[in-house]
Amino acid sequence: MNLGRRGANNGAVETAALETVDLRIAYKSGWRGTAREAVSGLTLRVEPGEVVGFIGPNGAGKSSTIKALMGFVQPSGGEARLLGKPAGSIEARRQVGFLPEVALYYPWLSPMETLWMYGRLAGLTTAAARKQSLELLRKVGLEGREREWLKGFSKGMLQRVGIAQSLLGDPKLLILDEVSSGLDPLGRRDLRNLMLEQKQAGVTIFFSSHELTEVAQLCDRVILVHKGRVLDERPVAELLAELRRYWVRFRSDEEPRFPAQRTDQAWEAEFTSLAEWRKALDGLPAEAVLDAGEREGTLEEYFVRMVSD
Amino acid sequence: MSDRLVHVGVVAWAALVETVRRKDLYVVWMLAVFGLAGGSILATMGVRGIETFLRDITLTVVNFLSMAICIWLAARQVPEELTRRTLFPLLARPVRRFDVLLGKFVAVWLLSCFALVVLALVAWITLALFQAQVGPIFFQWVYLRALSFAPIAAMTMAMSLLMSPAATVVLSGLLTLFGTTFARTLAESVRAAEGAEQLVLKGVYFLLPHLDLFDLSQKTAYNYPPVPLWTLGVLLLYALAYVFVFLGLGELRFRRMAV
Repeated sequence: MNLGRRGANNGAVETAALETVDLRIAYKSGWRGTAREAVSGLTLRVEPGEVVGFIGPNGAGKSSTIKALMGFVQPSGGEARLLGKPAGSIEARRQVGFLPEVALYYPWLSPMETLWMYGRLAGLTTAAARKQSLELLRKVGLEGREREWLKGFSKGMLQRVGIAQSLLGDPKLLILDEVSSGLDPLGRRDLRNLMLEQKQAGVTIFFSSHELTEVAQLCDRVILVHKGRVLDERPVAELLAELRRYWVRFRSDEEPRFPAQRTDQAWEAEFTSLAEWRKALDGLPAEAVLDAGEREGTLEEYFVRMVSD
Repeated sequence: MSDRLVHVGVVAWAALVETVRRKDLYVVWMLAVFGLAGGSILATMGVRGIETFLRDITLTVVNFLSMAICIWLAARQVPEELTRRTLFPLLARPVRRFDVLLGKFVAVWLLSCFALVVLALVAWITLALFQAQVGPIFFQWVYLRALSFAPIAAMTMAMSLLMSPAATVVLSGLLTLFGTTFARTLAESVRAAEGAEQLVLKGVYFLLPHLDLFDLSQKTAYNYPPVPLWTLGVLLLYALAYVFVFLGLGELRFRRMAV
């Protein structure tokens, strides 16, 4: 199966940073139990340098997909590749940084020792691992706590350690599962800054999150999965533009010619299109218009609408 | 140093540091203190005439305790990585699953050897208190015990990939006990049996590690002269062969295991 895509100009095959074709993952319960499919023919592609949010309700297959990408589970069908290498292979893992959904790390090691260990496993020399660990711990806001044992760390602090470990070895692709889980607003700000820094450095970021505000702020594109399949994928800018709403509140004794809701004192109407909104405003006498404006859409509305349908 | 050696070393280092810091080996210190205190009290009462019995019982206790520590440490390594989910960031690195298994194995073996050395030292001091000194074969007994931990740890770790830690401890303990105590009886049973029964018993006889070969406690208790050095060399190879087989089986399971 060819997982490359032909470029429009030179016909060269572009290697996707991350790609799955008809990926299937099934879990069997017990020796003779029937297999339950968690991912059913998932096809997606992430281009190099993109920041993609992988969203979906609980049980949609996000974590299973990520586990297959990292080689933690064997797909029952289909194919997955990271940076052109088979997902889960040593060659693929050499260039990937990964943050698991929930990890407690080694409670009796310090953040410095933990990062040094993962750095050595990532192929860094002892000195380089130490230097990068210190630098990353400072970036995630754990400066001064490098030598404390992790068993005294809160969930949010462990998540910071996790984020730091995912960045060790300067990966080309970051796969982050539930990235903002447990982080306080300051932690989220630091995370945003770190991710933007990585994005500017050309790192591809693929992350799952239930924090849709975070997704909207960071991503170029979102992929929505539901029941083990891709339900929709869209650039965030396009999506937010589509979700933008225009509204008007006005007085009128007569029933308006466009859909509107009557409140105690006035009418209220909401439009999805700018043209329709302008047309409605033009049709109303200036003194009748009490208020008008536009409202940004949220990914939450999109999520609820798509998943509930 | 090759990448794989670094990986094995780093995984072993983490397991060693963790075990030491969370005071898992306190049990060894406690047993050592109890052993010494008990021995000192008994020594004041005098034990003339039962020195051989004392040597036998002391070495048997050390055999049993060090084996229990080895099995307990080996049974929890991989399951704990799974329950704590620390296996994810570990396997996300360019590390082979076999190297993780090997690193854990090395740590368990070193820790078990450390526990054995402490307990053997206590045994040696206790026996000296009783005027029941042991000969140079004592050191060969320690060496072979340490060697026996290698197949025991490898077998236990392979089993821990198939069952719960509690079940692993019980089954591995039984198999180790069987391999140490009943191996010779099994050999006699093979000779006595016929047909299919003999075939089954032969299979068991050749499959199970003969841990009785690593036990010089009786010879030490009766102050035998040291065994020839080539025996120790052959047993090293025998132990390594079983380590290879058990870790290989563990790897077969671990490689396909969903984590």
